[in-house]
Amino acid sequence: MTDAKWKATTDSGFQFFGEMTGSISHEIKNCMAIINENAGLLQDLISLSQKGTPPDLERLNRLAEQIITQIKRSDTFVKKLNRFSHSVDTPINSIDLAEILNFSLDLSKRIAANRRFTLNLEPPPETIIISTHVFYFMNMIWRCLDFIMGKGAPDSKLIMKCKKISTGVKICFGPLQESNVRFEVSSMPGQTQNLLEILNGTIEVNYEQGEMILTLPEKYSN
Amino acid sequence: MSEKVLLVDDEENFINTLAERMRTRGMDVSTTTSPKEALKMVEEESFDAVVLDLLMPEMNGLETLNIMKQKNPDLQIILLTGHATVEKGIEAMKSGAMDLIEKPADLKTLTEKIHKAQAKKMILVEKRTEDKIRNIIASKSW
Repeated sequence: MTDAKWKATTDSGFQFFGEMTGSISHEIKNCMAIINENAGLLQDLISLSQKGTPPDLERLNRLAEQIITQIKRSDTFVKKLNRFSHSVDTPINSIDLAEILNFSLDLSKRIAANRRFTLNLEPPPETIIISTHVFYFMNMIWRCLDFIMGKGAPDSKLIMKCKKISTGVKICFGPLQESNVRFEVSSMPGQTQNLLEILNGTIEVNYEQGEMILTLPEKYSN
Repeated sequence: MSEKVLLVDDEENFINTLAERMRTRGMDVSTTTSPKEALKMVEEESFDAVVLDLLMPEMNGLETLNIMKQKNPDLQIILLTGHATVEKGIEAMKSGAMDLIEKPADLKTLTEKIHKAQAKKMILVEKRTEDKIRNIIASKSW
């Protein structure tokens, strides 16, 4: 790969990293806002109690529970962020395909929801293990989802499926909207082409099935 | 006169708790998690201020703001964002927002902005009334 292509791929990786971490930080901020208001209300009720209003202990308990709930919720977001940030620790790794696809959907679902899409994975009938560049793989999945959402009508559900083939795996994204203008894979952004080159993958479109199909080898080699 | 406020955010717990705190401070507060419902509410009722989340699944805050301002140019809208930057602030003002606040919001700061919103709205309504009276006087050949 040329230096220019590597630079473009690295920039794309930074962009992907920024989009995902920005989305997660937004979720954490939402939790903090709820905790902030519940703590503020606790102070308001204590202040009222100091002025003579008898404290409603049941109410105070519910507020405390709300704060605990939001702390647990924000902890799941931090765990997600942590896992994502550690995805670069061991660049090439063997992964459970369905598990990493689930994680990729989890990373993307807030951004998808803001664009009025829901994302689902149909689990494969068997466990599929592949060896790949984990960070670039997740980047590729996001690029595919981003592309499909750009071609789709809002308020629709996108479904991912995956299956093992003799030479590797196929990951299918759909449904493509019927009204979709036929597009050429070569029209996908440049960084997608670079990622395909790094991952030794291909993309094709099956208009009859209404799917975009990403094919990857079982073992990473570059 | 108590301020009439509409809170719009997809996090129900957040707006319900914030609304309760604002009501204990004398404000008349309505809430909705749906930007589409918020659009109907601003048509049906007169609010001194709308506090609107920037990022919501059903419709984003800027899109909602634009439609609200088209329906009622005098509406004072305060945007809530998880990450307030200078760029976002400029974009918000260009779109017609009165102000931009970062979450988690300090209630004292938010309350001050709502007071300002009410004052600004009253000035706009008074000016419109003055202009109407001036036009009536000018059109009558007394």
